[in-house]
Amino acid sequence: MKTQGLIATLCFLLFISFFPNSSAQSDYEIVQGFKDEHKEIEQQIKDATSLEELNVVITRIKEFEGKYAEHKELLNKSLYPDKFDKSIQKLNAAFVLRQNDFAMIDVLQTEVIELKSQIDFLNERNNELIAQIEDLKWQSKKDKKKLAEYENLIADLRASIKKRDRLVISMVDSLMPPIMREKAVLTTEDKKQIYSDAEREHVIDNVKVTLRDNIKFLEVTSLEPADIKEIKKQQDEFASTWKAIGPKLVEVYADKEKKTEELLIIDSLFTYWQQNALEENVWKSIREEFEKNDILLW
Amino acid sequence: MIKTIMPLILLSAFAACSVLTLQPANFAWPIESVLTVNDEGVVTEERYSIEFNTMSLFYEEFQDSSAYDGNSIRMIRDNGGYYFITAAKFKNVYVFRDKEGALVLHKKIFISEPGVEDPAFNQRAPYIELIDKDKKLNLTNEGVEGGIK
Repeated sequence: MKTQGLIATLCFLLFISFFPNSSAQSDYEIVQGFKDEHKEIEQQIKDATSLEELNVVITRIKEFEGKYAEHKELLNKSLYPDKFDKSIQKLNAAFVLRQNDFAMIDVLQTEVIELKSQIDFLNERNNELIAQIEDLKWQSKKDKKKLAEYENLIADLRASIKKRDRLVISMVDSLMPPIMREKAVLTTEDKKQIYSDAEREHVIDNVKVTLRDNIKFLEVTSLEPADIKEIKKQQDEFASTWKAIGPKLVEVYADKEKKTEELLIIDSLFTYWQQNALEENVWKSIREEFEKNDILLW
Repeated sequence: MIKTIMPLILLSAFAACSVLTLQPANFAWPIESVLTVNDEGVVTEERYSIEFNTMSLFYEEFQDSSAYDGNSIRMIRDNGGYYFITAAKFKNVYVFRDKEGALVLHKKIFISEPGVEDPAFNQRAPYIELIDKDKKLNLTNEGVEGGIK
């Protein structure tokens, strides 16, 4: 009986000792809160689509650091593998990196606008040159004066197309920041970052125009061996740039339902330019050379 | 002759029997771990690489072998290497010691009859602090600190 009474008293006293205390706080909750907020800020940095959006984060990082500074000792013991300072450093580094991305995008977009106006000008000029060349092509066979004019026009067109191709390649290059090229798959945020309304209509079209003009050039001209070597080099350069960037650009700029179609068109134009057009031109040059010497091949 | 040899024999025997001890050692975890019990009743602590089955613990607490289902436990280790485990609705905190592939119960500390609602452990060396909402209590591997006040 005495023992039962003693146990009851002990239990009662134990309950008294387990009394409410306003300072009861779980270390686990503090650490978890830190981790969650850290993750949130990281995501906010990644999701920022403009410098204005990003600049808000720096204030948040400072507030976050201040808020958890009093728990630094606990966080240093509990966080693994990064400690408190390292975690804050990581956020600041991610912020600066993202800031650089935006700065780079700004530079690239200005570059793209400049390149685009030059390309438009050259596209127009090439069309005029092609039309003039087609006019002169037959006249030049009879008139030596016209032949010289014809050859000059071809040289002009060749130079102009080459210049325009380089500009298109530069533009394609500028539209895809280097960091994006290394990614196997682009996220929605990445696409938003690359996407530029001004270029939406033009980038894919410009690539197609470039390829079509090159095919047309081969159709209206006869090449010298040195030209063939030059065009081969040009094709290789285009192929390597397109292989690295093209599919990703189509992914970003082409309409959803058109993506596959656009890729197929560009691929088939490129294949035609690379194989058929060049090959046909070589045969045409050979035929013309034989004709000059009064040898008919057919 | 025997007088000379005996101390040598005793000294050698003593040296052979003594166990190499590394001390001081501190086994304290800085914060508790909250571990979700899986379908087989097993919990896994990734950071400290511990895995064990909790079925018997839940049976001991609730006398129900399926009570672990959908539950999670709170666990922390003190300086001395004792593991403190509890969970929501537990009336007790269980103190374990590790021993060759098992956790062996060292002490079952009674906390409250209705059970703790939202328990959490804090490392407050040399104690383990148990908090439940706004209440707190210091524990050692032998029971409540200071016994009954």
